[in-house]
Amino acid sequence: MLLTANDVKKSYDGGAAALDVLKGVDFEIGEGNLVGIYGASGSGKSTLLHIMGGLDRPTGGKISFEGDDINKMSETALARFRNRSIGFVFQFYHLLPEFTAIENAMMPCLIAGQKRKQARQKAMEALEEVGLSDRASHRPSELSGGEQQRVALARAAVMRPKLILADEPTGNLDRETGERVFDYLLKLNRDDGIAMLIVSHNQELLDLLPRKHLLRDGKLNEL
Amino acid sequence: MKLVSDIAKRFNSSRHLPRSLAVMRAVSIAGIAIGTATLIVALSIVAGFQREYRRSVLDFNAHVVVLEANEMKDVAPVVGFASALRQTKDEKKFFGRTAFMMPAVKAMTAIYQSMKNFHDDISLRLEERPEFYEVWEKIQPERFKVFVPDILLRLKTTSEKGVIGMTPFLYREGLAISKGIIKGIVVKGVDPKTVREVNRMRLNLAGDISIDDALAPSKYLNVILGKALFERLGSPEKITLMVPQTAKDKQFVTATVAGTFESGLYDYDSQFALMNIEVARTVFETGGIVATGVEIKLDDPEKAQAIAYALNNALPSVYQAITWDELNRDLFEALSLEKLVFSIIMGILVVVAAFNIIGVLVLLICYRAHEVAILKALGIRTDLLRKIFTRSGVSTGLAGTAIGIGLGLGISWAVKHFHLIRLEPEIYFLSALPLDISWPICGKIALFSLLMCYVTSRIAARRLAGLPISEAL
Repeated sequence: MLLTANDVKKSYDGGAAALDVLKGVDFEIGEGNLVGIYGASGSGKSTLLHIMGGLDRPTGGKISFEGDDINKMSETALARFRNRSIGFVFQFYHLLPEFTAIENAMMPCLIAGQKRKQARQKAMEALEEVGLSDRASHRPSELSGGEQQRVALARAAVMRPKLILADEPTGNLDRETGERVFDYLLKLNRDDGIAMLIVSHNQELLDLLPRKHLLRDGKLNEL
Repeated sequence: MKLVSDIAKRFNSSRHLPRSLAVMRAVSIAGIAIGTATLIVALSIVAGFQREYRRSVLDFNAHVVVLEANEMKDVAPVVGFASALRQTKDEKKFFGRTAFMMPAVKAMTAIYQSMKNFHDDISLRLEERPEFYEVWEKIQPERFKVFVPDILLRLKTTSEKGVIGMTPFLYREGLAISKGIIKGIVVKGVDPKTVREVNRMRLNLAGDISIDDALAPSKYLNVILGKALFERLGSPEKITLMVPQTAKDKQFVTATVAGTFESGLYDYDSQFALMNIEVARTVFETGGIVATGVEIKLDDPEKAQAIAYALNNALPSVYQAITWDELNRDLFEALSLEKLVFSIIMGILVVVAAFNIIGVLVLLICYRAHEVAILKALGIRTDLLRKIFTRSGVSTGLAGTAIGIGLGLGISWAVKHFHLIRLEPEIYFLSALPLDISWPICGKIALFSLLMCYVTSRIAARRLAGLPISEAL
């Protein structure tokens, strides 16, 4: 198994009324799998995704990636894990506004310590894959929402991670653009064999996926 | 690392920063600049005073003074030995041209000495093995001298001979009386023929005559008064000197004022009167005593220690050679203390200014929390993030330091060049604030200021570790 979650719990300490967002989630995803998680807004989808990607720590339970418990990793090992094994796609793209499209796409390679030239080449390939090679030198503010999300896709895929975690990747886009971005996500899964975990409240899109789960009341159930 | 500098540059560029943050950064740059500039100006002033005092002390005093326990009945032994250390004109010229080679001479002498020591050491060990000893002894250590060019050896002997002038002097105390004013003074008997070799004070003599003529023994007793003393006594043409004598009729002598001198130090100018040493011997009835001591001038004041050491070794123990800095220790100690106090107080100013950087960086980190979270999600290590923000802080500090140094040098230059700050010459002996701009001091200040900025930046960047990613996204 690529990633396994065992009895993952998360609660936010709000004084007297502690908020339990996740009440014991069990989940697993294998190499090259394509899985969707559906949930209403505020159901804890993003929290679960962040915990699985090592951006947040669970209150209880265990996340293993290829057998290693990520909660037991050191800060440096966790950073390395996020850099090499995981790619993130967010609802609001989260590009660095001061950097051009290609610089944004290069960033994971540079963080990994690769040479600038090599990083640029890889980033260019990744941008070509999402059909944006002609917009490489534009800054995020000069790109449309769909284009920005495709740059974010290129950035998530540039290190050829084992798993991409996508948090509402089409949530901020109109229907047509959203479908296009979604197609690119599927293409990355198909062509490069990157496992994909897509979280969304858009059931129509998730219906295209072979495996779906529903997150409700802090529990995850397969549909 | 390129990545760090690249991100730091874009995070820091004021184009992308909110106005409040840009203003705050400008304020902290100004703070550091003012702190650094003040430090430079303050230390330049202290260095200026130090240089001026030193120059004045060296103008009026000799570099080395040789004294005898009960004053000197004969100056010949001192003069004789000191003459052996005198530089000839030829040597002086030679040394002047080649002095820059001195460090090389010192290094080569040290190498030669260690080679010789090594050779001697081996010789000692080989004494019991005649077969080796004979061979070894064929290598004469003097042969190594071949490596030392003649010119360097000559330079070394030339530099050891630093004496360029010497003169005997006699100190006596008396009372100067003029126009109803009585003032205790020190009469310094000098030899007008040699005093100028040692003493460089400014003379202002009546009629364009030399000190030799002014103090020539004549039927009148001539004295040269310190300028401040002269003014204190009401600028007289003649003064009455009261000297400690047993015979009543010799207690009061009339002296003609042949001129005034200015040494640059108020203490000297308000107390000293110069007189021909031969005349002084008679006036004060010194008996067999010829002089209080002998003053020796060197081509370089820094050699005083070495020459005094050589003199103390060569002369009988009744003689004592004292250097100029030993004679004026109080003054120079006070100046050093002043320098230290200035450095500490102004240094604190820089530290306080540097702490502003913490505020700016914390704000910058808050403002960039979202980007920091993105970079963390992309897997950047916390230590790289810390470097990015430390760099931002240090670049702010660098800007402040650079502006400060420019400002400090500019102010120092202007004060020095346009004599912006006037002083009371009677108290400070100088009419304008002296400034001595020294590059090593500027370098040290810049280093100190940058170090402070680095330390405060590191302190601020520590906040990054605790920044939650999930919430900032």
